[in-house]
Amino acid sequence: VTGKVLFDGEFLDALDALRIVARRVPAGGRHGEQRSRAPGGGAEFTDVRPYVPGDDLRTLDWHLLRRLDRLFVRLYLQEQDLPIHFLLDQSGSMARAEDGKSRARAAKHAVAALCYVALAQLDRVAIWPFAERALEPLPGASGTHGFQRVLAFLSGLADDGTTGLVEAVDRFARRGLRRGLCVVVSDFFDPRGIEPVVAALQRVRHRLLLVRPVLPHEARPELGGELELLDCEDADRTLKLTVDRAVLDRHEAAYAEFTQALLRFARRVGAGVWTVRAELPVVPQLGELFRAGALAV
Amino acid sequence: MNWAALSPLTAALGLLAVSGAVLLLHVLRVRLRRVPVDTLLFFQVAAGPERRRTLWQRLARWLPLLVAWLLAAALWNAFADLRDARERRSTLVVVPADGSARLAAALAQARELAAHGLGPEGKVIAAGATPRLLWRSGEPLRCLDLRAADLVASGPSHVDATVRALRELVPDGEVFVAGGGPQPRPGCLQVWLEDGPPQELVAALRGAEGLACELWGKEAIVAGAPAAEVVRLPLPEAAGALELRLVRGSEVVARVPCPAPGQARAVVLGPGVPASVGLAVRSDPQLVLREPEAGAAGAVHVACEPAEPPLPRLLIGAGTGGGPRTPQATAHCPLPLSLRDLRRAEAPALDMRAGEVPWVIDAGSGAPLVVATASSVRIASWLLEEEARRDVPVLVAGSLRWLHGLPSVALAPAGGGVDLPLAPPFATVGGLPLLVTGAPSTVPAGPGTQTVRSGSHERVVLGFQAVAAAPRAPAETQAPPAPIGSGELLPWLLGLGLLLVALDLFLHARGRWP
Repeated sequence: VTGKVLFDGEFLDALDALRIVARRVPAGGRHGEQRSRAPGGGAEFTDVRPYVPGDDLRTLDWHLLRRLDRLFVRLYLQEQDLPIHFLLDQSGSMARAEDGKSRARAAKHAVAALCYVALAQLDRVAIWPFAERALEPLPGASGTHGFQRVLAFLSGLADDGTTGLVEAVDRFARRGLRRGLCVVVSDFFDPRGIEPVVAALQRVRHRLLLVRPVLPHEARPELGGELELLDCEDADRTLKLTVDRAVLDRHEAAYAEFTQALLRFARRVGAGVWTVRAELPVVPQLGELFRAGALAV
Repeated sequence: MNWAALSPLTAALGLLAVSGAVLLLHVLRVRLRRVPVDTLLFFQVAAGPERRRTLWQRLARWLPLLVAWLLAAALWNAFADLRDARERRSTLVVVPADGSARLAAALAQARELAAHGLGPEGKVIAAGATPRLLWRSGEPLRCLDLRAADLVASGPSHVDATVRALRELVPDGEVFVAGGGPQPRPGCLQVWLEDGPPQELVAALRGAEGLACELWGKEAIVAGAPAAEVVRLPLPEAAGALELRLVRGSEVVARVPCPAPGQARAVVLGPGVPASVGLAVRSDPQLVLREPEAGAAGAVHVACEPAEPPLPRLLIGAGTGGGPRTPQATAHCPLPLSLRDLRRAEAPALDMRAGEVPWVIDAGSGAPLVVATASSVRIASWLLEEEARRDVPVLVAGSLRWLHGLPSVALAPAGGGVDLPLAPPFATVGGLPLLVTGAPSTVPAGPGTQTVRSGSHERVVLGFQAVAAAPRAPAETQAPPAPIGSGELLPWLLGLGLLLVALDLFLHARGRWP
């Protein structure tokens, strides 16, 4: 994945117009473009308060002093950055391809696009790839120059192994990082089902954005006959099955229930869900996520 | 072809081969295709209760194997030649090239036999001063014609020596002398019997003047005594009778004095007599089998008292709705009668005269249609009309054989065949001319065929040759088409079967076929 592959000039211009707007930005971050609740040296005036010793004299409101003969300091809204953490699934199921298009490729494109938007507005990004265990992360990148680091990092990721989504989310939740946006990029296929995944995601104290790359026929695979189905992540997991129309109908129903469970969880916790179709270019699909040019998280 | 003609080893090997192929194809079909999927999560939900297959479901997967095997066995049974080539006997036809006038007839007969097939090692050999190969199996019949045209027949033939040499060279083969061959001794029959499919034996013997008898049997003789020779030896003329001697190898197993034509004899068989003898006696219309007497053992005894000859009868079934009537032969009728015409309602029956016995009657009304005496036959005139004429030759042939001891020959209405001077006692009501074909319907003339003139009567007496009753092949057929049952269709059928199985595998693999 390189910058040339991901974007051309036109799309970069389109991405430049996109913004990620955080409703709340926790204090303690670096200077950025997100408006923080913490008063500080921002440009936007919010309030005044009585002066207490130790306050910066430069913030004294001289107009109030002259009229009221009392000391007040002006309060400005501090603009801080939004930490955005990407949990990127690199398991074998992400690497499976149909017609040369894989979920992993779409996932990297989506991460790269979101990183570009975030870095352009001086937010800080971190990428935490995982398979059955945590992979070497990109702990932090900021500034527009950090985009090349992101691309280089994504290019070096390998897709292999089983899915350890629950463990990866739990590890991330235990890190105690500054709250921000957690973007989970995965197919959410865990052998234990969707319930443990939902439970793990619920323990994350960040705002959540679930990015789910999908393949065209994953709801109703084009299979039939006497088959021995192999889990692409673990060859020891097999299922001998006569796949006919009835089985495919039930498969489709189970897949729909899986999707609904994920959406119900997202609605409950106020998380966003972005379904990325792997067979289509990613950047045009950003429009579904950035309504009116902004993604409010 | 049926299973009765199977050699157990051949059947077992054939079915084993077919079963192996069917099993292999079935295993290929039921072999599970390994398909990697993203996750088994949804398939496990979709499989649900089907994962726990019941016993019937497990068996049902093998049901196609059973069906395929049954189909293969049915095809094998229906089309394959179940006899191994080594078990098929070859026929060696010896043509006496002695310069006599019968050479042309012998060559024609050899050609006809060759057209029917002489087996894998069949040959036509000219037995002249030096034996010469004229034709061998696999060659077109034109080779036989060309070599026969170059055949220079002169001098004495060495048929006997040739036959003996061929018997030693091909001990399992059948040696046939065409157009004459070794002249049978007066009153002596030689019947070469062939194992295999049912065959009809027709043999007749011209013995002393006025004495002629027939052996008319079925395949029971073959099945019971495949290696036996049936020989009728002449008795001294003073004895006034002929004797049927059954010989197995060099041992005479039974002697049956043969009655004169029209004279039935009661025969009692001892318990040690081979069953084939009993069957032979039963098949002879002029012999009546009696229960064995006490003390009789191991021999054939012929009672001297004449028995009532069992006249053959033909019962014509009533039919339904005016449709064709189905003939039904009585047990003693030796003729393959076939009455295919419609009996007209106004068809008159014959009035029985003194001394006449009904020979053909209408089963519906009991009216006699053909009556016979010891010396004459009367046939209802309408049977000789055009509509019914197809059946008349059969009736007349039976009459001739019954009255005059003539062999079974096929008679045909006017328009074909060779004139047969009918004996004066034979008369047809209405005076319609009848013709007889030159060749018997199913039995080619064997060695010893001769025409015997007895006073104003002329009789055709066939030699004694056992051949399989087979339909006559077209005379100019160079390569007869592969008959059903020859096994030659098997590769094509197997190819078609493999194509279907491949199509089945393809559709199954694509999930478009259960």
